[in-house]
Amino acid sequence: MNKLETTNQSEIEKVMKKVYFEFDTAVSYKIWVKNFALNLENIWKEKSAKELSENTVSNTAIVIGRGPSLKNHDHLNKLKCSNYDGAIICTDGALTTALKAGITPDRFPEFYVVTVDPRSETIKFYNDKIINKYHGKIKGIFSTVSDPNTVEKARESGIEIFWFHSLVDYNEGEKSFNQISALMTRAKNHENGLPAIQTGGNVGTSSWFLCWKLLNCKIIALIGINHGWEDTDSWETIMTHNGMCKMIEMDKNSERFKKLFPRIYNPDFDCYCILDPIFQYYSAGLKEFIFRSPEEIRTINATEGGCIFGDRIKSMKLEEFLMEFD
Amino acid sequence: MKTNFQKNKIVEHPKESLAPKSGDKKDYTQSEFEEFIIKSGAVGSYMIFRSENEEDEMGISEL
Repeated sequence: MNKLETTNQSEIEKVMKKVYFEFDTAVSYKIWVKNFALNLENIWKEKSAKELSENTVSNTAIVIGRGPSLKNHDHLNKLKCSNYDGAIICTDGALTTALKAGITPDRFPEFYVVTVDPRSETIKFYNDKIINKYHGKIKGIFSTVSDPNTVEKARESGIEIFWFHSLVDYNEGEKSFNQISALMTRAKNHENGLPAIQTGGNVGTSSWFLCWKLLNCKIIALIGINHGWEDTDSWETIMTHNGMCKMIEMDKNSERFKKLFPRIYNPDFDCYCILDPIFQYYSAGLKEFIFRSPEEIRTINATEGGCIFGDRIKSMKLEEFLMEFD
Repeated sequence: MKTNFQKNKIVEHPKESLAPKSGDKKDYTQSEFEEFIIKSGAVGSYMIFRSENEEDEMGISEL
């Protein structure tokens, strides 16, 4: 398996690409350019995420997503009570939940938060006073096209900012946004440029890449990375991707519906998971990149739910993973 | 990126399941998938980055 592994998945990619370019590129491009322009002064002043490579101590990281299994399995409490001493990489949406649960930089000094999404809504992830309690202790890894108000909010809360490029159109040549924005970044203080990361379309996959590529971690554990829905989630939640898109009337007994929203069995955790088209796209991508990573990179899925399983993914309960640190 | 802890009331879902692992069966047509994506507006901020140079897809250390 070198590319996405099934006909289904390559079909998904074709459709996403077509729809994205026809309906979304113009909108996204404007957001990327605007955000990058407003971030540029700070990008020049602040650090490259490459510098994180030089200061990482641990070779083990836990990526914390905000999937439902995090709460269902009391994972944050189990992590807090463990002897784990590796790095913590919080996806932005999980940051305040993690801090409130005791997963803090005081307890885990190698503590990072990641934002890749350029949308302005991401500011809510940094809009909590608890973040200020850890002023200067959290390292924030931000895409150069992150919303500038979001980055400023994080900066005001004492998060140290480190920058990287999100790969979006680098393959389109020297006039691509990636290449032009990289040249502008190199114009001052970052003569060698910034690292550019595959996002996989979402912050969870981005965080996995950052652990490997920037933090040089060889063991990457995932919790709260479900990339799917549970049987207790309503159809409205599932069909709108939790309010992110419009509800479409469909016959839930139709074959078409079952194909778009398959309920799959996860044999590693003996549980079921419901996918929507977006999670099919994201999860296929993450599984592919894990498969393509070097043998020395071990990916442990301790989510205890969801649909991330398969080649090169070792599934285990979080307690089992944490026992290695006792 | 899009989930949260808010739980919904227990709802009925089909009990049957599809095969967990991948296969070569084409489960739906491109037009079915495309129609859903367009109608729902389910286009995210990013796509998976693809390149003719497959190494680039795994990231670039200095750009």
